[in-house]
Amino acid sequence: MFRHAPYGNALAREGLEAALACGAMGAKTSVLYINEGVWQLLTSQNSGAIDCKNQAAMASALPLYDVDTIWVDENSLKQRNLTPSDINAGKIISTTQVQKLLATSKSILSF
Amino acid sequence: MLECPATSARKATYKTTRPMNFALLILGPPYSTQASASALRFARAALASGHGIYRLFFYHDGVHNASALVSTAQDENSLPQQWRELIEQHQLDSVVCIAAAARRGVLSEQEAKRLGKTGGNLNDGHELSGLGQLVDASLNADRVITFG
Repeated sequence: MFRHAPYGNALAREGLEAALACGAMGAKTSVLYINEGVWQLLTSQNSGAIDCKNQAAMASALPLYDVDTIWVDENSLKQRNLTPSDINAGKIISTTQVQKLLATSKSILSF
Repeated sequence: MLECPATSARKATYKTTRPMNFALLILGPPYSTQASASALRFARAALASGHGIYRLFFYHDGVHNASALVSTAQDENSLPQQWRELIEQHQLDSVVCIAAAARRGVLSEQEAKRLGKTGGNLNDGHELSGLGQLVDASLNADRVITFG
């Protein structure tokens, strides 16, 4: 579960690394972008301007590590005036579906 | 292929009062935020209630809790020291992410030598290892609690 903006601190990057490790080790893993975390998927981000690796580009590696369920909270997008065309990946789900996802997960890592 | 147990099993364990095995993911550094102190208190409370701690996993800025160089004022609590005591007292498994630690200058003697640094500063009781240990904890502990 990614709750923080892509830059400003390393939580987004290190959270993504943890998700990739889960996938690489064969654990059934899905990721959820929620609250400020939805900014991580923004297509138009120019992280080179602040000498950081592009978080959206790194997230595109998720399917290569067998993390192929990428969820995005619909309400978080709406609150930030973002539309599905602003982000580069993920399936948009409602708050009810988010609750169900959390309730049915064996364990949750929150970044 | 490691599979997560079914949801129904999770719900069943939730309602029972049997002891649980917790894994703690600690993302917060000592001093700057409350996260590490809360994690320490949670660990103490869980152990005092008869629960188990499957593993402590220090990641992100949480790796600073494993630094032996943290020096606090005499009238203040040293979180790294308290973690070390809790780990020793209960023989807890404490893992510090090796990559996150290296980026932040928390090194074992061995790592310091390998990287050509002057000296290691990893506190006793902790082990440097990879994210695989976090994945293992997620799969095998009853609950993973994130503090950060």
